[in-house]
Amino acid sequence: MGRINVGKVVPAGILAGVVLGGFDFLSDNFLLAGDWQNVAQMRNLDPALMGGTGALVTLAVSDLLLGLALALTYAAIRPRFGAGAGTAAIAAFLIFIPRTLLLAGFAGWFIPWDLYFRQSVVMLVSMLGAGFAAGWVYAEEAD
Amino acid sequence: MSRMNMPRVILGGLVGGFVMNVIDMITGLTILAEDGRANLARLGLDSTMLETAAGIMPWVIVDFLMGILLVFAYAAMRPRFGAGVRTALISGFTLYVTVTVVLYGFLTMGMFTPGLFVKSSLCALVAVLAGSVSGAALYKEE
Repeated sequence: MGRINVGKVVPAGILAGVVLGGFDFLSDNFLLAGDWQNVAQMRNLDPALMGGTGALVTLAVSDLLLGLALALTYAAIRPRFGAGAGTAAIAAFLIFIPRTLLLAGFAGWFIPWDLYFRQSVVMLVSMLGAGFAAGWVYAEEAD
Repeated sequence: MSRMNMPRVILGGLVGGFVMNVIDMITGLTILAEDGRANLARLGLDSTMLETAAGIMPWVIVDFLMGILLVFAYAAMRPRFGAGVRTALISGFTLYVTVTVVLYGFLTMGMFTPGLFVKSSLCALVAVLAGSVSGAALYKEE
């Protein structure tokens, strides 16, 4: 079986990370900012930790790691499902589902259920966008 | 290209999920117990809530679903890397990274203490890899 094209996985992962970062910026600063601030207040957390430079740096690094994991997953499952948007979507779901399952464990007692569902929708949309971006960049020699 | 054996994905996934549940139960009652209770108290929550049936059941279900996902990922990556433990470790570690990134985000928001994050992450690594390997052992294709 052909080897993964590492030279293409890295730029694909970086682009996916940028897409994820864009969605997270919108979500954390506009769409769901108020909800997470409420959670911080309810749970005696420092609201400043929810935003600020430190949080942005953490988010950027996290999104880059997720983007690389997503690109690697797309490349890894490509022989099974073929190149294209369908495989990119499968890869996105493989990365999205563990995240939303973990968050579900905190729903109802740490965060409200409606925040969990809205955060999950945002995560899914961002992961699919990132997956399509990674799939668009990644290619192998046989292509 | 060959089709995935979905009945084997489900079977392997349930076994992998069972293995993860056993490991999580053991680590939750031993390694993570004290830090977990202290963290809940710090957040103003009932420190024993995760020791009740209502507190535990969501995580039991999550582990079984994660087990199925792990074996699906193994089966999906099998044509690329071949059948066997190495592929199960690769697919398991990939999914583990996505979970750890979420946990790290919780740490930076102050939801976890650093000690609890490190211990939770290491325990999760053992559980996920064990679940992936044990579940993948049952997966076969024609």
